Amino acid sequence: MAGLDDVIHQPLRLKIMAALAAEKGQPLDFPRLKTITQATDGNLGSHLTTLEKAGYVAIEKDFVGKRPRTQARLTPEGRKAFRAHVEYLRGVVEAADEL
Amino acid sequence: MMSVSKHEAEAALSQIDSVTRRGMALRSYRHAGPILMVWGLIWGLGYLGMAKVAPEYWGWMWGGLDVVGVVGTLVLSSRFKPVDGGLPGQAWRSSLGMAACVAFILAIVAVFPKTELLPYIALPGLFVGFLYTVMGVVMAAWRYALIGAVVFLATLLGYYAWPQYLAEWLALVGGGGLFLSGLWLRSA
Repeated sequence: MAGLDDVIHQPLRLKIMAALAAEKGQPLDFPRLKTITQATDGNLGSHLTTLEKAGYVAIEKDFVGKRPRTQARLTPEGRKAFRAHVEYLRGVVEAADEL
Repeated sequence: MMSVSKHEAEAALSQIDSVTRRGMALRSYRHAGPILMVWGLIWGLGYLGMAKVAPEYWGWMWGGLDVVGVVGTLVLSSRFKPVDGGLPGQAWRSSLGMAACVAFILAIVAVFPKTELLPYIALPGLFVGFLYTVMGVVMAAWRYALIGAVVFLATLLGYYAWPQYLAEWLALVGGGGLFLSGLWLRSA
């Protein structure tokens, strides 16, 4: 069984990873990610940075017209780590059920 | 290495599930928004036509508008790629769903006795309102439920409060309301 991923397990980071994983490689912009995760600007920014440093998330900044846009997407490494983390969580539940 | 209890693992899995569902609902809003805007325009034009044109032309008018709506739905739906395990053929399924709704309303109009015009003017508003409310409740997509409830109640209000202007009322509140609802969904 895969181990617990301390980076992903933090509640808001888990939500961010789940929201990005559901997009199947497509990026999510900051306001939508904020709505889905129900996070505040500051919290979301700091946890995205942690995930980016871990190599799980790629942050892309560009402009739509004159408005700046920040988008985040899961990296292949992040997708793999998220899958492993979900597997671990399921494993914990199944193991406890078998006892 | 840290480990978690069964309770914590279940809570985390449930959190993942809830975030995934919220994301899917928002994505569905963004896809449905432009389609709703098209149907808002069709609805507005159809009801304005009912207010201005003789009843014998209503069937042709609605038939033409509905074809435009179904084709518009097909074109708009085909712009979105299914993600997150979405079924293929979404564009065709959306258009067929719309066509089924139109066929249902036309069948009701054809089958029921035509002793009074007013109930037939109210029928699409009540049906669409009901459909969106049920869809919103079943999918836990509350924006759909709210739009449905507003359309349903606005139709009833017009029917009882100012029946002589029901078609104009539905053109404004139904058509305009659906168009604005589409804008609201698109911004999700």
